[in-house]
Amino acid sequence: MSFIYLDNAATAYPKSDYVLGAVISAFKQCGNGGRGGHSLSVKATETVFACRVALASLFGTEPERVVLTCGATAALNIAIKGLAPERGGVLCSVLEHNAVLRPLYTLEGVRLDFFAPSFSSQKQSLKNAVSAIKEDTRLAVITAASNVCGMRLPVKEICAECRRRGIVTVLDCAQTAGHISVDIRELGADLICLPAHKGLGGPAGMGALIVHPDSRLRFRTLIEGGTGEAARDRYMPPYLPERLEAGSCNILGIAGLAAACEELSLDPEREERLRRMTVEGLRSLDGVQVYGADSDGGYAPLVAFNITSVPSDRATELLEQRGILLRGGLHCAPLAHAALGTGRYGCLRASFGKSNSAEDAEALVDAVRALLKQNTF
Amino acid sequence: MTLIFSSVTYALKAQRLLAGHRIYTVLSRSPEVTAVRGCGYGLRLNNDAQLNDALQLLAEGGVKQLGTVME
Repeated sequence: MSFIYLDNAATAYPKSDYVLGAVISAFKQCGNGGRGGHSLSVKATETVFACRVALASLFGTEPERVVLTCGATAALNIAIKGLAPERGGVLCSVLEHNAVLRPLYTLEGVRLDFFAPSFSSQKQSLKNAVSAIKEDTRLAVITAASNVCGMRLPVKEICAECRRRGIVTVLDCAQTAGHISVDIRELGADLICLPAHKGLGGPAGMGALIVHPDSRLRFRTLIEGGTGEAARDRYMPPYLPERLEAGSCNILGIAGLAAACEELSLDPEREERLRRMTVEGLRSLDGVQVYGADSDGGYAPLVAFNITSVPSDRATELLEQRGILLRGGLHCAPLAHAALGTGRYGCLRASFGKSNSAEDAEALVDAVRALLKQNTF
Repeated sequence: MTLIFSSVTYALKAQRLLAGHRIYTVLSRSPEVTAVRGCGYGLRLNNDAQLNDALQLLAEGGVKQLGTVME
């Protein structure tokens, strides 16, 4: 049975043949990057560097300030635990994913200063964020866009406020990287964390920590091990990216990510049209509630909604029977759901990617309409 | 002549920079670099006469090198 894939916020699908080709080539042609002088090792080493160059170019930094990780979650853990203050506060929003919340919850002696963004006004969101900053706030870890409703936060403005106060800023760009332009210099963040496999269209199991070109941050290490260099040193090197990259790298994922960056073409207007079409279509139906879709600050291409009185996980099953694949539940963001009023059963999330068309958005609305008509939940 | 860098990442960044100015190098894992650093990569100049130009370009480009060794 054919299907329409609307779960790109979880992972992009389908991945391109170009990315697959790069992964296969690396599988066949690469040794261990940074570990030897023979041709297969050098090929891998050059592949790794090409990936750093591609990411640096996309996200506004230098290649040596691209730390390759096994995903956005790993990047966030490295950033949070590597820079966590010993005391004071950490600013974050209630829209954070568990990839941010759970590492933060493990920090001892640190207070979490949550702010609740407005679902309509960016100005109010900024005001709420600034109000939550205390004199001893040392770190801010904030999502660039909610993975539940897609709403973007005024992160550039929040970073500016933090910078004025000497607060280190980390942005979770899991839902914006590959969808809109993300430039760390323009955003004014110290660090941004991103996955390979969502908007960028690369392989799963890869991600990156992007460090601002002017940053002088010193990271504690989470993992220590071989780097292929300076083997007599007892500790990890002080310089990036090797300080944060112990052990053999995932050369297949890296090759795929480099290829994905190479062929990336941003089209935020098209994706926003799909999102808006979907919001309007769903809102035209009696018995559907759309959440958090009226902000004046822009969106990642996804829509949160519920079919009234149907738990979201049940609704995803019913929609799959009609050929629509999307995700229900809490999306690993329990506080975001609480803020949206969907804390008990979560909601449905339709998320768009490069392969989706207006017909796909229409098909979703038609499928929901048909379910409502059938009324056999 | 081989230029030594703090990491393979800086070595490759330097290689790219130099190649843009027609100074060609080979990424090497030479015994000399290992002796100095305990494993590491260097860039072997194809033409040793370009050493001074290379050092100047790297300094201008902000790519720090740790020194040079004869092979």
